Amino acid sequence: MKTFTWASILLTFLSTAFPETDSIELANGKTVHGVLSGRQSTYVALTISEGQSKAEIRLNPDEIVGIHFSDSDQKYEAIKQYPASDPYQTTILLESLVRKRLPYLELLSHSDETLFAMLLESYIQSGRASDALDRAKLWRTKLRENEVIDQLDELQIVAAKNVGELDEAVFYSKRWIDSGKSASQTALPWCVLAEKSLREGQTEDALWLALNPIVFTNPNTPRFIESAYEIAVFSAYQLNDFKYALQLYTDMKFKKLNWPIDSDKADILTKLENHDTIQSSNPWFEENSSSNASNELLKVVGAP
Amino acid sequence: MLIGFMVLNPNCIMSQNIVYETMPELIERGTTAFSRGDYSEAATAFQKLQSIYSKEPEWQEARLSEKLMPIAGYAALRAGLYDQAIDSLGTFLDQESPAHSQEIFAKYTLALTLKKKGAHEEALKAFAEFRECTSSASQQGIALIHEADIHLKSGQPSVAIRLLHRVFESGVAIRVQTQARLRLLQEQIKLGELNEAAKTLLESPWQSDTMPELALLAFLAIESGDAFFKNELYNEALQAYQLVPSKSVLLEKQIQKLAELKNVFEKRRGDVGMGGFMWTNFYEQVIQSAAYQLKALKEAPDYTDQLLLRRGRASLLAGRPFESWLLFERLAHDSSSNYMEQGHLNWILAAKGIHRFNAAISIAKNYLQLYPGSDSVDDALMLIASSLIDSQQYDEAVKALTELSENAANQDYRISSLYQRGQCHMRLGNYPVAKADFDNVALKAFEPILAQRAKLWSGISQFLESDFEEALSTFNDLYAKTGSRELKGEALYRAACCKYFLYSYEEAIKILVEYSNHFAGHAREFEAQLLLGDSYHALNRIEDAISRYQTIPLDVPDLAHLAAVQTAFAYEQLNQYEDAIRTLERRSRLEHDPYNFTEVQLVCAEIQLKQGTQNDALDALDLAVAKHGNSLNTENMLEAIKQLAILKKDNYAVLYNFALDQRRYRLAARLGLLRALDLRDKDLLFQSNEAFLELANEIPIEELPPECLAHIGLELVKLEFENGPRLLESLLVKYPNSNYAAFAYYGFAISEEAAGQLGAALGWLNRIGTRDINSPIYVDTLQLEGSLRMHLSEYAAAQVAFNTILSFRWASSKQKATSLLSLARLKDLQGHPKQAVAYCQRVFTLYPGITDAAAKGYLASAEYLVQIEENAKAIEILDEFLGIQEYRQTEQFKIAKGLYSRLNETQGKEQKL
Repeated sequence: MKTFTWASILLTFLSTAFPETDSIELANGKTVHGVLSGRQSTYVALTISEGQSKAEIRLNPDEIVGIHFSDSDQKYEAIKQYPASDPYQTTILLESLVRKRLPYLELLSHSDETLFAMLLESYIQSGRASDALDRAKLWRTKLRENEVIDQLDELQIVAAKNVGELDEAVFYSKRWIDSGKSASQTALPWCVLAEKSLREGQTEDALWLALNPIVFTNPNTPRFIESAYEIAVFSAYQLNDFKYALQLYTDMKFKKLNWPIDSDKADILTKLENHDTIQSSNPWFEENSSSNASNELLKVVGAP
Repeated sequence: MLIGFMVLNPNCIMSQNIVYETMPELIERGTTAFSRGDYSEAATAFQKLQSIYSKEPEWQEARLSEKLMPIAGYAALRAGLYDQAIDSLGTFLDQESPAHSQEIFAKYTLALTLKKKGAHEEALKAFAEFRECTSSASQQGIALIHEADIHLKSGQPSVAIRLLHRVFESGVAIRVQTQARLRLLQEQIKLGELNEAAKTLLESPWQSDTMPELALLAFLAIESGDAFFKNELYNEALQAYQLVPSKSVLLEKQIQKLAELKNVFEKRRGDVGMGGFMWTNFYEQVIQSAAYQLKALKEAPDYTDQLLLRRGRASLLAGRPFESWLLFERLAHDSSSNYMEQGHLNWILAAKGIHRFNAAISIAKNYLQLYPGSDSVDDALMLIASSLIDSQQYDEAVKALTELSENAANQDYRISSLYQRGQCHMRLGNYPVAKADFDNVALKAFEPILAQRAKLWSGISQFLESDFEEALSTFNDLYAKTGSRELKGEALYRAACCKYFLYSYEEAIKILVEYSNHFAGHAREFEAQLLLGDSYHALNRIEDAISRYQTIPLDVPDLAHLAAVQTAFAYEQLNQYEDAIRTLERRSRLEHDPYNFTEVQLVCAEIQLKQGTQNDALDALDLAVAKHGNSLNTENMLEAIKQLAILKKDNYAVLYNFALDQRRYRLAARLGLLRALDLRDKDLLFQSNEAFLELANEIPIEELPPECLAHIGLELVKLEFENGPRLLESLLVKYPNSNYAAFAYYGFAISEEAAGQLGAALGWLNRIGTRDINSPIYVDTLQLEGSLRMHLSEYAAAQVAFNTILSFRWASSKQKATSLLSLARLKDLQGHPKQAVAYCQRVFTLYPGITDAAAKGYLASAEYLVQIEENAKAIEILDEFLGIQEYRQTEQFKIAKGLYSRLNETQGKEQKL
């Protein structure tokens, strides 16, 4: 089996250091240095210079173990500084890094793949959610790292939500949940489906969905857990289970979680507080709902 | 480390003349051994150095005591040579003005040595001196933790807890604070100070991102959670369990934290001087502890599923059944878990917790299929029965409980099943059957309290069966025998109720006064006052009655409502109408419940009408209708609207359309219903049916109040419209406590009968109990029941049903006539045509005005007489029937005429012969 395919003139040369060049690590242990010049059909093209001479080699992707880009300093700087306070500036920097890596999507290292997720997030932060959505669709199938794909999936949901493509957000959310992924990192997919249930008047379904990440991620606090609580509190209140709504809201405060800033359900907090006041001034208001369960459980199952 | 040695003057040391080892040699030996951690060797070298050279001038000049003794003391401590350590450190500290950092180090080491030696008093003193000496809050905190440890060893946990609290709440470094907090929690749990432990564990967040004691925290949280759970602190238990990650996550984090801690320690240990020794020592302890925790964690079995189970139980008992459902469901479906079965069993409870009774039954049945040999089979069966009870499926519950009472492995379960079955029979109105179950439990129960409760319920069954004498005897017996204050009070109160119903008001008063004197704060306290008022009222001691009613506090809303109404009636009896109305007006201002408010207004209007102030009555009714006319759950609103319309002579049709225009659908529905009922009362059946259908078409189902769902649904069922049962289902689902539930059961029974499902029809009718005796359809339900039982050849039961109708004074003539006809048919079926004739004759004798029934009675009577070959009497009866003008339009008339001719013809032939 050939190590790689020669398509034009092959120049053999030796070098110990190539600080300004890209390099390709091959399956046979060798490393080839040069300037990456895109893809020729499926082959990766690398231009190699020797004095005044130049040659392009085309490498079979199957033989490539890894690609090291010449702009690694910029890349680590970008990763180090991320998330930057100025998303526009970050976007420009990341775009140039991503552009260079784009032809080699399926060959990238984990840290290079991460740049794609970062760029999507920058797009969203700088108000370009539709760009994020479009790019995510293109890139998702080619990337390999599960962690990055998860990030992309989550960003895709965020982007779809931001541009008002709610059906799309629901589709991605269902895909996330159906694939068996947990809520340990993000509660967003459950929140999106719960919001949909609320829009359709299926309040109890919304409560079940929102409770899922709340129940199964303790003691961690995944992203968007505040939204899960927001929906759960709202749904419980709508279902006239004031006591449970209050319990959930108290949990939120206990866990130092803030009510989402962009919440459209903030008026529920006033209602809850008013209800709390009514409750504390009316001792007979309290429902003794747990007493039956308590008797039954202790009788049937016993204490731990 | 060991910076003290760097300042020694080598020339001074080199000038000594030693036999075995020179001073530099000994110093070299000691420091080298110290550096490599050979503290025993170092201690020996330093001891030798001190004993040989400490009197030499060079020793003094080079201030070797100051430089060497702290290290020598420390080496001795580490080598376990406590006395030697104390000697070295004491020597150092006895010197005048030692270097401050070394002084801190020496004092700490001395205190630590004394602690290790077991000289607790001296150690405490030394740690206190050390704290005085250092200005570092963290160092003081570490010392306090040691002091707390000493107090714990000396059996003074309260002092230890106080000290640990002090550290926890002070501004020390987070690691020291965390150590103190964990120790504090451990001790609080040990001492059972659970509320304090809950505060320590839960009131502020743990630095779980940085703390290396994650495993310890997790184990302590589980231990705390269990202790909270056992002491019914379910919320706290849940919060404690929620602090614990799964084992795999915890293991990963613990490895990571230990590595980070070691890294930090290794990086910094070279930088700290002698003063930092205690910090090093502290770190070493933390690392050692974290490593131990990691080892223990690795070796421990995976607790994750058990934790889910614990969390599920705590969630359920903390009133969070949704969360417990999710947790138990996951366990029940996790085939890799050892807790699958327990998860499944608990899942049933979670379903009950969110009132999904049918789901609970289905989960329980699934459990029984999956785990038929489980020890918890009886539990699952009991949960099925209790779900059936909760969903008011009493017939099914009786079946399940009967099965349990006969076959449960556990004798206690058999008895408690009987008790529960008695409760079901109570709800079905089968009081004698219920009583039999309760008596059985009272006889067999091992637990005296259960036996006594059963006795109480036996008495209540008798009371509800109107056996007041028997009930009284049961309650008196219970009162004499029970030791429970709760049951004694209950028995006494109920004995008073019996006396009241036996018209022995004086005795009822005597009992109730005794109750008031001895059972202050008892559950029936205010009910007893109300009954006392009623008893006085019955004896015409109206002022006494009023004074009792007025003792009922306003914050017991239902009783306060009844008391206000009774007070008003009492004032009315005294002709103090103004007082009566004022009482009601005051109550109406406080009344939030629409039903009670409407009732108050109805009574008020009634009194005002008697007073002759019709306009005020109109105002009262107007207010009720204006305020709650459009409320959904105000079943007595129909009466208020009816009275108002009668007083104002309003036309229902006009008001109905007006309310519809205003989109006040619930009010419109009530007006429309009154219109349809009015037409029916006027025998305009076609128009009435039309009005019912119009209502069903014009008002959305979700806007129909319960009384409208009931009436319209039933009419539609009778007319065989498909949406009739749907309306009735909606009534039961949306208003499970409605007084109109009997309409739904009756409607379902009619549908089943029409479908030929007589057993199912009877099942529905069984749900109608004597509590529905005031329902306008109660007699009709008995009629249907009798008819169904007759078809099923249950003749005795059928006869009971028909006779019951005849015993009701308020049953209409038509209903009684129909019942008599049914009894006639029944007797015929039983082969007693003579008795059938007697029943028929009662029909046309007693109710000749009920044309249809009377005509049927005549004809049937004649037919039965023919059957027993009493043709002459038959002709006589028919002759009478055919001679009455009013019956000429009935369908029986024509048939009777034919029969009459045939009989006469036969009679004639016989005479000729």
